[in-house]
Amino acid sequence: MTIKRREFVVGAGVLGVASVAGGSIAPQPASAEHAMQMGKKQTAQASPSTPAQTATSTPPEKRTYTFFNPDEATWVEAAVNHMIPADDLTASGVDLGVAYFIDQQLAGGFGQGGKMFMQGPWHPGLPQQGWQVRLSPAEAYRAAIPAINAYCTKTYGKDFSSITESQRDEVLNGLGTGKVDSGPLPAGLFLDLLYQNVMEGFFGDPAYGGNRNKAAWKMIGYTGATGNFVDAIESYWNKPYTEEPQSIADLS
Amino acid sequence: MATKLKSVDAVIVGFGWTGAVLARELTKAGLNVVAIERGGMRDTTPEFSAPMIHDELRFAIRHDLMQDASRETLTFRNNVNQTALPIRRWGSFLPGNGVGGAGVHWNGQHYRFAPSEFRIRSHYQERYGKKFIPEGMTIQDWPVTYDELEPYYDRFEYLCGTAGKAGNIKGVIQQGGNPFEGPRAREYPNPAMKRSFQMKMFEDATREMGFHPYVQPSSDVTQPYTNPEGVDMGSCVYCGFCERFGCEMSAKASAQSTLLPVLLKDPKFELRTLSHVTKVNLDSTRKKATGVTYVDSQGREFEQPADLVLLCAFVLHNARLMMLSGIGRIYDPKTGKGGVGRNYAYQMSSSVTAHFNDKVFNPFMGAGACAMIMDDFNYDNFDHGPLGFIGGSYLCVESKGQRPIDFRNLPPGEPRWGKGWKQSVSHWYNRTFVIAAFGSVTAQRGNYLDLDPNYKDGFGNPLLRMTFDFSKNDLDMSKYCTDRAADIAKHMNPDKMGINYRKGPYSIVPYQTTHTTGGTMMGADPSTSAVNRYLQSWDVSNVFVMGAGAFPQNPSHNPTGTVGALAYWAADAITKKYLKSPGRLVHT
Ligand SMILES: Cc1cc2nc3c(=O)[nH]c(=O)nc-3n(C[C@H](O)[C@H](O)[C@H](O)COP(=O)(O)OP(=O)(O)OC[C@H]3O[C@@H](n4cnc5c(N)ncnc54)[C@H](O)[C@@H]3O)c2cc1C
Ligand code: SF4
Repeated sequence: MTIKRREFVVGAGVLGVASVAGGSIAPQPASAEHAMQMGKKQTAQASPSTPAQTATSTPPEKRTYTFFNPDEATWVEAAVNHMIPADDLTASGVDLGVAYFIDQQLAGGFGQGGKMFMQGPWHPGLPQQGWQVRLSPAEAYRAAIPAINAYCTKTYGKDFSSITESQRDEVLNGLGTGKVDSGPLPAGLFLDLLYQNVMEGFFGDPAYGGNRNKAAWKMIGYTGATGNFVDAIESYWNKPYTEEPQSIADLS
Repeated sequence: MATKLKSVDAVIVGFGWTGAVLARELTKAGLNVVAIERGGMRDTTPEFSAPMIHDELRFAIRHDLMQDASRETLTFRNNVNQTALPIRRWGSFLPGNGVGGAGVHWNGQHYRFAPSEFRIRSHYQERYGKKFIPEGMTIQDWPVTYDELEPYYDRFEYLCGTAGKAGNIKGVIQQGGNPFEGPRAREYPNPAMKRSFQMKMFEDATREMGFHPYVQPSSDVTQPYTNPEGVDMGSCVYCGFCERFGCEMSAKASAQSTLLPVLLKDPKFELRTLSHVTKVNLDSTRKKATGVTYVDSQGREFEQPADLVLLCAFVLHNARLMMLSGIGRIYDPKTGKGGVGRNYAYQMSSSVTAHFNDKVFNPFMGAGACAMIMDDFNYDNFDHGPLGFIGGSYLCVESKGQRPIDFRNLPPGEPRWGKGWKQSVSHWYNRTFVIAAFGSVTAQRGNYLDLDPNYKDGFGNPLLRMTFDFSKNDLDMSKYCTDRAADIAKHMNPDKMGINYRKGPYSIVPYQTTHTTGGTMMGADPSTSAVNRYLQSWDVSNVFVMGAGAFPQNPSHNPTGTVGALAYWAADAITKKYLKSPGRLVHT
C-alpha cells in the first residue's frame, strides 16, 4: 500500500469552526501525523491559554507516530476520521490528534498490556469473562488491521482507507457482529478496543495528544479539569454553564 | 528463609478503611500495632493535588489508584460447569491498592442498612410464610442487630463527618430525611449536600407520586469539620472528579483525611508500605496465629510475629488469605458445608435514561455522594407477597460528575459514530440524566469463593476463584425496580427515554459496583460461617476479619457505612472483651 502524504496545518479546524465546515475529508488516506507541524499550529492559535508557545526561541518538536507502521497509520487515520469526521462541530479526529493519541497509548503501558494479567493457561473463554486473547492491546491492533484490510480488498477491491463511507460502516459494524474477520481476535474485541480508544483520544485531556484545543469538550459543553462548582451546582439550575473548559495544562 | 522480626501486639494486614479504624482503636487501647500494606504511601498532598488529579483517562479509565491485575487478580466463572479464567483487566469491580485502600477513591455514599435486613430470613418468613424463601437461597440472619450496631454506625459517621438529614431520631420521624431508616441516636454531624437541578426534578416528581425522596448521606463533607479525632477536614467543592479519584480538598472521608494524621504521630503505630502479606502463620495446634509472613519490595521475606492478626485487606483478599493460611474450612457448594468463601454476593445495578430537549443539567457538576434517593422500593418497604421475590433497590438521581470518556448517555437508537453521533452527543450530553437502581443480591448456594486450581500470582500462590451469577430472584427484583424507575422518568415527561435492565449472565466486563460482599461471613453457626458476631475467626481465635466479607448477603445500600460500624464494633469487642481474656468470644 502506498501512502499518500498530505501536508496540512494541524488544528486548522479549531481556529474557527467555519474553516472546516462541510469540508469532509473522510475517504482520505492521510498519514497526517508525519507531516504535522506543532509549531505552525500553535503560532496560528496564539491564545492566552497556551502561554508556552509565545516567547520561546526553540520551536516545539514535530509530533510523529512511534508505534504505527505506515499501513497501520493509514488504517487508523481512516477509522478515526470515519468515527469523528470533520463537520461544523469539530475538525476531524485525525486533526484533533486522536490517531496520534492512540499511537502513543499503544506505544506505552496501556498498549503493552502493562497492567493486564498475561499468564496462561489460555482459553477462549465466554464473553462475560472478558479479554482472554494472548495479545496485548498493541498486538491486537497489529494483528487485526492487516486482516481487515484483506477482507476489504477481497470484498470491495480496495483497502479500508479507500472504500466509501457506507462500506466503512459495513466493515466496522461487521467487526462488531463477527461478519468481518479480524484475524486471530474474537468477534467484537477489536471494535470495542478501537471504539474505546477513539473516545479516549477525543474526550480525554489534551495532555495526551488528542482533543486538541479541547474541541470535544467545547462540542458537548464539558468543563474539563476545572472542578469547583460549589456555588454553581445550585445557581446554574437549568442554565447552561458557559465558562470555557480548562485543561490540566491550562490550570498548571 | 524469612527473617523473623520482633513480635508486636497486633499486626494489621492491609491499610485501607478498616485497617485505619482498627489501627487507631488498638493503639488507643495501648497496643503496639504494625500495619502492613502492599501498595505505596499516598496522601492528600502531593498525590491527590489538583489539577493533576482531574485526569479522567489516568484515574477513571486506566485505574491508576487501583490494584495492578498483572500482579494479582482473581479468576471468574458463572457456575461450576464453566472453567474459571483470570480477570485479565478490571471491569465489573475495582479493588483498591495502596495506603487508604479503596477508601481513597470511593464516592463517600454513606449508608446504614435497615433494621429488618439484619434478620432477613426470619423477617421474610414471619411476614410471607416459611415457603417464601426458595430452595438454594442461603440468606441468613446476621448475628448482630441494628440496635447493637447503632452506636458504632454513629461513631463511624462522626469520624467521617457524614453530611445528611436524619429521617428517624430515636423513633421520631424527621421531615426531609429517609422515613424508612432505623432509629438513630442523633442528627448527622454535617448538613446534607446541595441539590443539582436533576436531583430537584427527581425529588419533585417522586414526592408528587407519593414517594419519600431524601438527599443521599454523604461522606463528602459539606463544611469545614473537625472530627472526634481532632482531624480537620475540608469542604467539598463538587469538583466532579470523585469516584476513582483522590480528594484534593481533604473533604472526602478516607484514612488520609480522618485518621492518618493522628496515627502517623503515634509511636505505638508503624506503617510498612510496599509489603505484601502472603500468609497468616499458625502454630502447631492450628488454632492460634503466630503472626504473618510478608514480602517487601526487594523480595525479602519477613515473618512478623504478633499476638493478634487483623485481616483488613478487602473482601476478596481477606477470604483468599484465610484460605491460603488454612484458617477455617473452605465452603463446598456440593455439601453446603464450610464457612470460608460462602455466600459471596454483589450488588444489582440498572438504569433509566431521561432526555429533555428543553432542559440543561450541567452533568459535570457534582460529587461522589451528591444524589437524591428513595427507599420506597428498597428492603421490605413494599409488599413482596404478590411479587414473589426477595429484596429491593434504592432508586436515585446521582450528580457524581459525568466525565465524557465514561458517561455519554444517548437515547436509544442513536448512531455510535460519525456526524449523526457527533450531533447527538453534543445535543444530549447536557440534556440527559440517569435514574439508577442499586439493589440487593441474595446469597445463593452456587455463588461462592474458593482457590483456583490453575492460576497463581507472582508469589506462586493460587488465585482466588469467584463463582457467581445473578439468580432469577435478583433479576426479577431488578426488573421490577427498574420498571418503577421508568415510571418516575415517565412522570417527568421526557422527550426520550431508555431502559437498561440488568440481564444475566453476570459479566465481569462492564463496571457495575465494587460492592462485593460475603466470603468471610459472620454467623451464629461455626459450620456455616467464617467468623462470629465479633468478626473473630471461629477456628483461630486471635484472627479477626474485617470488611464487607462479613455480610451474609448484600442488602442493597452501599457497604462502607456498615463496614466502618462493624470495624468499630469488633474493635470494641477486642479491646473490652478479648484482651481481658483471650480466646473465643462466642461459645456454641
Ligand atoms: C470506585 C469505588 C467506589 C466506591 N464507592 C463507594 C461508596 O460510595 N459507598 C460505599 O459505601 N462504598 C463504596 N466503595 C467501597 C469502599 O471503597 C469499600 O467498602 C471500603 O474501602 C472497604 O474497606 P476495606 O478496609 O475492607 O478495604 P480497602 O479500603 O480496599 O483496603 C484494603 C487494603 O488492603 C491492602 N491489601 C490487600 N491485600 C493485601 C496483602 N496481601 N498484603 C498487604 N496489603 C494488602 C490493599 O492494598 C488495600 O489498601 C467504593 C469502591 C470503589 C472501588
Ligand atoms: S467531589 Fe468533593 S469530596 Fe469528591 S473529590 Fe471533589 S471536592 Fe473531594
